[in-house]
Amino acid sequence: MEYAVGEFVEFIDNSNQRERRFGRIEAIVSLLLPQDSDHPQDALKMSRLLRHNELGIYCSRDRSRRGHKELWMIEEDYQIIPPNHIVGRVLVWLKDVSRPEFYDFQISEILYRDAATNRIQIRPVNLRHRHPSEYVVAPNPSPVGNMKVFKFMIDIYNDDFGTFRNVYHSLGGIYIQIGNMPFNLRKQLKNHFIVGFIPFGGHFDDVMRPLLQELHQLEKGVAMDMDNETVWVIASIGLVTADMPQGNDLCDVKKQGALYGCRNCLVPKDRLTDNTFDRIRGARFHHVTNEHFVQLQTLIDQGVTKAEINNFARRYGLRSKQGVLSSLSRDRHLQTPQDAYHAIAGKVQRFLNITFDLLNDNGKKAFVKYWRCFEKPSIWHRLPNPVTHLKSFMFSDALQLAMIMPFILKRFLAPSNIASADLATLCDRLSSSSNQRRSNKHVINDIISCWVIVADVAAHCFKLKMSQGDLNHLQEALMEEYGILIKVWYKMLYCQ
Amino acid sequence: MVILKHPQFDSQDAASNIRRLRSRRTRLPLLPVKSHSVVIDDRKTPSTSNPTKLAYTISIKEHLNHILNNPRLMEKMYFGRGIETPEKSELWHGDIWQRSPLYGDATISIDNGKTRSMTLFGKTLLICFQWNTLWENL
Repeated sequence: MEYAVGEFVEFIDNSNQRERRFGRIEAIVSLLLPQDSDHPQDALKMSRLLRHNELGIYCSRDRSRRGHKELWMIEEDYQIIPPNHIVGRVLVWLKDVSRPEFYDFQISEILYRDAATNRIQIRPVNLRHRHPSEYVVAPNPSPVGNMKVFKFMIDIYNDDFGTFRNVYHSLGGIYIQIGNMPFNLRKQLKNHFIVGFIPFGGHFDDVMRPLLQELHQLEKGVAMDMDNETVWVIASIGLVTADMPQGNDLCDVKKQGALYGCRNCLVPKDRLTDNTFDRIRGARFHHVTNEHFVQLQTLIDQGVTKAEINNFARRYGLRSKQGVLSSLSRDRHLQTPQDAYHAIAGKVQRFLNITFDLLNDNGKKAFVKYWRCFEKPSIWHRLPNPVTHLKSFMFSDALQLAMIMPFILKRFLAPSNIASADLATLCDRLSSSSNQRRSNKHVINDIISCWVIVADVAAHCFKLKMSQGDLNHLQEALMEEYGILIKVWYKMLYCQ
Repeated sequence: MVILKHPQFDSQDAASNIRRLRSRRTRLPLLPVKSHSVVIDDRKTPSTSNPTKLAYTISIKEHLNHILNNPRLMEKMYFGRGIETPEKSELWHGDIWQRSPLYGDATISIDNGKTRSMTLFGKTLLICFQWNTLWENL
């Protein structure tokens, strides 16, 4: 019996072997256990479907009534099962696609856990990231049966760089990396392959257009020679890496300053720092964006005014024209990740600026003194004086300094090192937010704990190996950092 | 030294005179570069400059061809299905690789508790896909 990814099946539950449940084959994987890393086992990654009596607080009378014909998706606790735990196929109609002739169950809602409140919520099935098996066009079979097949994941990378020192005349570079290489190969400069340059004033789309036909061919599969042997090669764009605003351009979203300027969710500009925004329900979904572009094209075809087109684009935070990459098989929102390096390092640089602005002359002198004699690792290159030369610090320098900032501050920072007006403001702010009088000493401790959490977030963000525990820790640390930064700094910076 | 000690090094390939070596140095083997003209945004450039410029690109297929024929790279690259492991560090540990039929396996055949994974291109799979799309389009 053949099963394909994305199909719905009945399987034996992992937690209770006697129980059978319905689910979807999310992926066919090799399971690598730490105690037996040489022998990966075939396994299936399953998402579960719930019956109406498993819905907890969402088991309303109406849902129970529909329960004999309906199931609910849940987006957590994926199960890894051995393939022989599959019992049989089941036909399920996801109600956001057209209705099949035969089906056993239908799905109209999804349960998910809201990250902010950590509570289970429910949303309509239309608001989901579709499984790749639903939108990927299947590649062609190799012309000869026993031909070797190689599937490449291409990471396309676009960044601007200045050609002259101080003159604004930037050139864009387009490179590719091969996702099939392990990280230690991928990071080497020789394994970044140049595709082309975008001249100053040119557009990414114009430069890439001649290569598009080739990319479509590669998605379908092409025969290539490898050491006197013909092999079948399938290559597709798996990732698009770019910083702002090119990253937003490449997934057809308006620039970051727009009303809806996030490429992953529809958070409005005035709620960017509001962590109660439900970013799972409010996410941008690839098929929804596609529908918007179809509507936009209809408007254009009807010959409506430019203002109406702009209004439409503004309402959904989309560009008025799709980019060239949108014709490829990819989920534009999931496969264009945010640039964590710019985000984290940019934040650290900003925070360094704020911290040095707080210090008075004595404080700055004391900082430099303690920074000079700090026992740094011998392999670190010498950095210029951070107080006077912060503007010439590169991102990597700022991150290096963030590692040792908590220790240096802990050694020297005293109330006398901080400008008295700023100290008084901070004292008042912290007292009012915690409803008890905070002394100068408390303020110092709060500044140091800000740095501890910022350094912790940076360290966890760039770990080379991530376990589920690390991810949970990162999530908690980010929430804690958000809380403390808003509490200590936000109003001081923006509301004076 | 790496070149001299390489098992496939043949002294016949070395240039016999310095002039030949010099001519080779000026033009190392390069991938073919194609050019096409692109429109330049006139808001960013002086009004006297050209409205179009040439952009140069290197074909992605050529890059892949070179990678395929580089055994030192190929032996370290991974071309299998997605891997599920407690510690994630590579792209094939991630969701996109695991789920997408463009990178991992698209079907698995299960009979009597024994499994045999299929590559994407079996007849059965095609039927499966057709069945799948048919079912979705209905």
